[in-house]
Amino acid sequence: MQHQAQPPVTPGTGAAPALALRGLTKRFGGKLAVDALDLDVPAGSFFGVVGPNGAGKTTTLSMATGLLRPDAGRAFVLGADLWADPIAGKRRLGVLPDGVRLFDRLTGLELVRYAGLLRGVERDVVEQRAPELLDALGLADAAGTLVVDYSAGMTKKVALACALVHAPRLLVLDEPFEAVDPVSGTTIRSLLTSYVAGGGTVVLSSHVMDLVERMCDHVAVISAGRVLATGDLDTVRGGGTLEERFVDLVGGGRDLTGSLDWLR
Amino acid sequence: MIGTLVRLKLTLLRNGLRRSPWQVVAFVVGVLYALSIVATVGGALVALRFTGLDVAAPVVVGVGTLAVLGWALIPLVAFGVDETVDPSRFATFAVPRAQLVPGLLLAGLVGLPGAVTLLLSLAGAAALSRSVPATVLAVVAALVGTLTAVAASRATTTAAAALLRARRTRDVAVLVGGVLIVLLGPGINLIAQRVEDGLDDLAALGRDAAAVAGWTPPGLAWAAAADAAAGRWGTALLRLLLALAVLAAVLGAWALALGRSGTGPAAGGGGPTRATAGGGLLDRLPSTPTGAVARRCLLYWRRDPRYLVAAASVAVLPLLLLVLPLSAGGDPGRWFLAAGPLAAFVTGWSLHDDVAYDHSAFTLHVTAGVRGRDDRAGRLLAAALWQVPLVLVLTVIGALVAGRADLLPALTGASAALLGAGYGVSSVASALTPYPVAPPGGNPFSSPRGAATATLLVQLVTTLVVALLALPALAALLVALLWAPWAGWIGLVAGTGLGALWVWLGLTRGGALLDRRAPEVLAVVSRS
Repeated sequence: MQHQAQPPVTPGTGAAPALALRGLTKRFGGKLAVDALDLDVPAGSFFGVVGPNGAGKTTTLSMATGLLRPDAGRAFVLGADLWADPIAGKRRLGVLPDGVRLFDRLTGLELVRYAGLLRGVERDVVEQRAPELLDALGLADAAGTLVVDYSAGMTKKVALACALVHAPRLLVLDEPFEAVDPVSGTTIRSLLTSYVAGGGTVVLSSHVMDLVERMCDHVAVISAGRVLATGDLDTVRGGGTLEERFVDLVGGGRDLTGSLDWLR
Repeated sequence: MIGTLVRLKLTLLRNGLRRSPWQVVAFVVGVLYALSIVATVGGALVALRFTGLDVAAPVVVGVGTLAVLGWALIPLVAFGVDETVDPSRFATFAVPRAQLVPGLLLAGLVGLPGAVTLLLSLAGAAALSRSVPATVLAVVAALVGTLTAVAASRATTTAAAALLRARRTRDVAVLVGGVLIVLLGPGINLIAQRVEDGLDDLAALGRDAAAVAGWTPPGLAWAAAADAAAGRWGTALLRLLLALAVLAAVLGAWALALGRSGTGPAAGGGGPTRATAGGGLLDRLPSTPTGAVARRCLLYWRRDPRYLVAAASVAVLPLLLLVLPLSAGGDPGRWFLAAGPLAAFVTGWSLHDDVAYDHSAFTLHVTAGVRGRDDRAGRLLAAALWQVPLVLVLTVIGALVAGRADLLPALTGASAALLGAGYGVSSVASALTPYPVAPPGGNPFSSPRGAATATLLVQLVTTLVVALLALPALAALLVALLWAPWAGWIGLVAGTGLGALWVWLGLTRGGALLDRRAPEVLAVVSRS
């Protein structure tokens, strides 16, 4: 047995991490997308996963949330082995996947209700939470509109509402700020901040360093399917900014002097 | 631009084959099938070169006309158009429509159906090669005919999709089905009446039909070649000119429809739509995951054009049973016996596409950890809520109209077995062998690239299994129909019992399969 069967424990604290990935590996054809990746997300943290395009962020988060079966490795969600018992593992997990469709022939309200009932939440609880969530996210006016007619930012927000309606303790968000305008972005940010303040754990991926630096207290830098650095924000960025540290770790900031002259 | 689009299509086809070895297997099966068609039909056509022109000409004109009609109409009811090169993808590239349409036309020709049609057209030209100039004209006419066929398939599906998207009402889908039947009726009527006059007249009938078809839009090109072979050059050139005009008109209609749907944004449609309210039945479904899935599916049956097209094809079935015998000049009575069982088979079996219709929205079911059995049961419940009453009504009406109320138990048994077997097989098949379908908001008449042959294979196997599982009840129906009506009571008991058994097995086995395979199913249905 390469990896322990028992849920792992964060060294020093003795507390179980909210999300623990052990040796996650995924190959697409001949290409190794995620390479024996280990990651611990402490409970109650606001955790940012950053990496260049194609680093394996989405693949990793998909394997951590039960959407993509890993070739090897395990994912522990709040102590439960997700791939050994998917239904138990998913119970207190909320997911916002990137680039997937929604049931967009439902109205916003119907969609959030649907997500709640699918999770087995009681009808009267759903009836109370769904309008409240839509209201908090500024979607109250669009509650009766089909999701297919929503803008990109509204779609992102209603998907977030779907991920929250069953009151999860761990929230995994893939690119939650993609295609979101600053106003909606601020709304989402304050909602997530208060969620973490209430004891929840958020894991989000992004390639906007600035944003991760402002919101998150822990980060992991992923490149080529491996974790290059992880820990609390100050430790990872050292003295400089996260962006400097990131380019440093990942490499490849190219000097363009002398090339692309025809563009000027 | 034309070269670029054709190269794009070839690249997409090649990359599709690279994706998995099964794609290659499916492609090879498709090629073999196409070759067998070309060898038999093409061989027969070429052999006509050595018969009299009075035989060869009507055959070529008849087959050619049917081929063009087939291209234009079949995608509306089955299979769909291979949208490998999807017009809506070119919305942002500022390609003038005058260049886009010819390019898409030739790209549509690249592929197995196009290749088969082109080869058969040339075989038809060979059958009419009675002199050098006639041969030249026949080859030109064959090309015009083939291009008209491909263009017609694109024009009809694009126009139908534009209509559906613009209105989002089921009326249009039913309308399309109705038009199809109206088109079908007279043709069958013509043949049927002549058949009654005796088989001796079959040749004369063929000549008559070909003479008529030769002046219809889909027949002009082929008739032009026949005229040239007979030395009637005046008529030949006139018809060729008219055929070119038809091709231009079809291309024009396609370009017009593209302007409405294709070159606009893929989601299309007018302003924001306020949703229709739920209604009594929907609110009475239980607040469990199963109830939630059923409620969502019922809303989709009303709001998604793809479901509307599927539902319309069921509504069209009894009409077909009425129109077909009537146009044959015969008594439709006996045919109506088939209404219930046929509707049961089609509705039960077509449920296997349900997960694929979700596309990547199925992600929500996976992240929510919905139990496979709840997922299966919800989808089945939604379908059964309107399909069981429909099948029952059709069965009873069919037996009464046919004047065979004594067959009611046997028919009900057969319908129950077919519907139950369809639901059961669908519940297992959609977890075991899902295949991608047209994505939400996409053209309901298109099928995703690279999946055509594999799709056909799954459809064939599931059809056979449904028929096999319902066999005892079908056998009882046959016995009751031919010899002993009392056997129908055995059929009723066996049929309802079997139907319930297949549903239960479908829910449990299909549910367990989905529990194990949910991420894999998600990966397949998210493609396209």
